[in-house]
Amino acid sequence: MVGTMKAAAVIKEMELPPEPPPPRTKEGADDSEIPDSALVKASRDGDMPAYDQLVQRYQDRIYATIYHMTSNHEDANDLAQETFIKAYSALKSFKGDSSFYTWVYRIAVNKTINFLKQRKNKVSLSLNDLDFNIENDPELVAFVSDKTPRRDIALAELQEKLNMAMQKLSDVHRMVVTLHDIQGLSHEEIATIMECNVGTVRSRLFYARQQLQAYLSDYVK
Amino acid sequence: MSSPDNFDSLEKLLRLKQYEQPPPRYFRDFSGRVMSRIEAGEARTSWWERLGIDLRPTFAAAAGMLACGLVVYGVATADGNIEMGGDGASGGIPLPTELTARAFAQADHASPPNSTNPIPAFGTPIDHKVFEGGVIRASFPAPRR
Repeated sequence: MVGTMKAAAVIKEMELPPEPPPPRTKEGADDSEIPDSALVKASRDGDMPAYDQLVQRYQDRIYATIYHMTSNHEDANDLAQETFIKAYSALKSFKGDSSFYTWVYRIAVNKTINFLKQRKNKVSLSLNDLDFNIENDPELVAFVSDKTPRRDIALAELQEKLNMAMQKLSDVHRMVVTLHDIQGLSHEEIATIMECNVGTVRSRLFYARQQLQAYLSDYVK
Repeated sequence: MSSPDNFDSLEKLLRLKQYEQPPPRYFRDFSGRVMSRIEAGEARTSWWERLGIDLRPTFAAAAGMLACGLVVYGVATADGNIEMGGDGASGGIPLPTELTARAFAQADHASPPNSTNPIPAFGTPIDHKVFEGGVIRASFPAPRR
């Protein structure tokens, strides 16, 4: 098993980075055939390549969640790494009641919220560049073109305004918007990750959208 | 203007964030960095963490009790010294409490002061040196023009 995983890791390394972000997939339905549960079991037994596979499987989603919460690449990088290190150290306490994916998400969410509490209101944006594939999103292009003929400037400006508006939301409201409207998670999944009920998720989402709409009234019709 | 519960435009705008991507090849090295840190021992946990026990409150309570104990011990020891009159209890070095007690004892035997008035009264020997001294010359800087 170790050999197979090492080989898979080598093949994975030879591939180009996944860009743009791949569509969200359920547990075990990733490009690899090995289910999460098997990788978790192997990782617990000290199989490092198995854990490496798990990290590769969820690194982009965990990173993206933290990035959208902090609007800072460096902070997201640190927190995402710490999330996987913490998950590894706590792997023995993972009972498998939920999927590994939900469990690691929960670690990331808690870590990020703790970090944001320490950071308080000191927001420093360090935004990632927009992927060139944005040009292939007709709806978004049409939406931006509607506002201004100079799309390149408008995109950068919109990106900054959007991130600033996001940072004005409270941590839990920003988390719900991130997980639902950006990451595409269902209300039920978010409720499990944030350890609250679905009704709370829905009301937080509604309130957060209202707030965002007010903050971005110049850009949202 | 959209109604409060019509978030179509906002949802379109939020799609912009999906295109915010980290630097190229960032994810290629990510897991390697995580694994290096794990292998360097950063994921090592203490035995109580492995058992799922959070000992931080216990440690805090123990530290608090220890601090209280030290204070109580200190107060009890200080009271004992006064009762013993300082004989040998402080190892030859008089404690502040002992010094105070001695000062009061000496004050009982001392002659009462003649007067509390700082101006010498008639009949009191005057130390003439107090009034001796040079002439005080004050000098002030010349005013600027």
